[in-house]
Amino acid sequence: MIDIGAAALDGFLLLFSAKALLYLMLGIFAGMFFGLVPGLSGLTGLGLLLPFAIGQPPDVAFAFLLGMFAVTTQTDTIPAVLIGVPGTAAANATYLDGFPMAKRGEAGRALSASYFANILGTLVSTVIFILFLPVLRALIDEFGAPEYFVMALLGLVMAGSLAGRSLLRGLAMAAFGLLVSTVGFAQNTGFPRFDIGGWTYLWDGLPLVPLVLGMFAVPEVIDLLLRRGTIARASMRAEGGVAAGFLDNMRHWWLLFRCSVIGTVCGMIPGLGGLVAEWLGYGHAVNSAKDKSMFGKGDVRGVIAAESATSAQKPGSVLPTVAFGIPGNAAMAVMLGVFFIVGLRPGPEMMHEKLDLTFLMVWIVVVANLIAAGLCLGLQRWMILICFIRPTVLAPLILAFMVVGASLATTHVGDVVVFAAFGAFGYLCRRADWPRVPFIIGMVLGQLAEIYLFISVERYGFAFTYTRPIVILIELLIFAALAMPLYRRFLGSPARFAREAE
Amino acid sequence: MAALRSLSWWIGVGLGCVALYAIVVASEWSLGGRLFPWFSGFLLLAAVAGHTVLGLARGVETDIEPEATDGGPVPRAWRLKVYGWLILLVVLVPLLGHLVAVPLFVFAFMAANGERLWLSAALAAATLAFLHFVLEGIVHVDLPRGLVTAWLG
Repeated sequence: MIDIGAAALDGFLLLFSAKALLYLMLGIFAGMFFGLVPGLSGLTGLGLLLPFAIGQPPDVAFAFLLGMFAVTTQTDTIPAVLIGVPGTAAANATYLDGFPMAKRGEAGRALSASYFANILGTLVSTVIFILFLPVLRALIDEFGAPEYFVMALLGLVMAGSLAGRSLLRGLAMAAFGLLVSTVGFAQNTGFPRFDIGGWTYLWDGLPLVPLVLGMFAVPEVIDLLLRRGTIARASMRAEGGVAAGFLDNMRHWWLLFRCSVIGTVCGMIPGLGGLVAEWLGYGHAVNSAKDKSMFGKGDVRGVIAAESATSAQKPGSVLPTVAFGIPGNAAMAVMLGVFFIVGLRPGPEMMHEKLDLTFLMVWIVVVANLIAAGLCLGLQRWMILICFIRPTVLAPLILAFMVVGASLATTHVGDVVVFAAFGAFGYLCRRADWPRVPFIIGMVLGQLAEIYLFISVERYGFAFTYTRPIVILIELLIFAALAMPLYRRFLGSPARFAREAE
Repeated sequence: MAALRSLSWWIGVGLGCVALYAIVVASEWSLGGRLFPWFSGFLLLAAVAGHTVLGLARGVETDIEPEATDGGPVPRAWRLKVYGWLILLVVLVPLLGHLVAVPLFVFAFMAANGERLWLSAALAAATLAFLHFVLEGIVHVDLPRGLVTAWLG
């Protein structure tokens, strides 16, 4: 435990270098913007800022990107409460009670409750993270290449089965991500693969930046443009209520704690992410309340539950990413890509020698949330004005920076081709409801999974799949993850409908 | 055959073709080279085969249509116009290079879509200043020049 404490302190101190702090603040301001503007999201921001983080040392890159991503769920509440339009999909449940509170003249209280729920949710999740760490460290020491390979498969199957409404589409997208990761020189043979007739640009593989920008940012910006008009019509006023919001959190501390645990667990399970965490938290608040009459009409418990669960999933998602290389959500998949770019490998190294960096990631989320909450409390009445900017002003600027950002990966014209091709593919996927998260998780995980599969086959042959106990256990979990959606479809739903009908 | 009119179903078919191509191409490589492409290719093929067959048998959910601000459908003409602008941007950049194409796009898009000329020009100038002074000057990024710019020397 002593080395964990020392690593936690080292990680905390890493954040306070001048450069890391500067980048953290830049990331926070960018994240506040991306959370505020309905139609954009943390992933859009992550794609846009990614090129500027490449080339920086790990602490600076993490401060910039994670700082940005951590605070989008703080500011997305502001438009949800004040103008009735959630800034990101992760604020939909907050809107249900926050907007009615604003209409009742309690906008300040709703926003304050949401900011404090975010901070406290993150803190609870951090404590859970620290408690889990010794268990994971012991477990990870038992892992070899076969275990890591099947663990990667488990992450992919879970992401595929949970990220969308269709198991087959989720699995197909995860497999497509794996396939895309094989473009370029094979790591074990040095032979170029899928280089489309010797196009040398592809020999280093498809670069992550234009791909992420295309898949996630382009569809959002197209939708922003297609909507045409400004999203905001009129805004409520948000004054006062700071103390009331804080006291609401204290009064409902047990609910806040339970929802934070739900959020943390959602963060650890690949494919769930903030949206599911928020609705599970909100659903739990409604189901566990004695008096449900005010939910949806302006009950502060709805705001607290949704926000604490959403914020808690972020530190939670760090754990599987650093320990097993399995990203809890798409943002963590991108962060995993950053790991490789800055020369880090998830696994034992991040749990032992580089534990301070692991802690740094968690501290960034905590500190960014604290700073963002303070900024939001002071600036929210002006920040909401960003929502009134016309898409015809905002979208061309974002598009311009996207195409520039995409080209910063290798400054080759091929970056623009990859950006355009995956932008079109991402938009079609969005229109056709094919989940994009498993694709990006598959693409990033593919690099690791291929090495682990190759080592496992070389060392043990295919017998590794049935001779190693941990592998067998994880394989059983994979089958369970595959069977769960089928069970829900064929057995769970009729049973539930029957109950509801009664 | 409702599935044949569904974008979702056709994405499945397209991915199936990609999987088949990958499997066939990879079959010529050594075991180390083809092991993972085959693994992911066969997984992809199995998933999209299931999706395609089930789609034909049971139908596919309707595609998600984008909505305008008022909640109504987006006019077809506006939709095509937006797609056209995006295509123009990705064509202009390789031709003219970032330094010319990106500010030009910002100005043209804003001016053509009813924004005031001074605002369009100001934001295009700000974009150019960012690219030239910050990215090229301070960060020392060597942005690609573009085919036409290179040809003109």
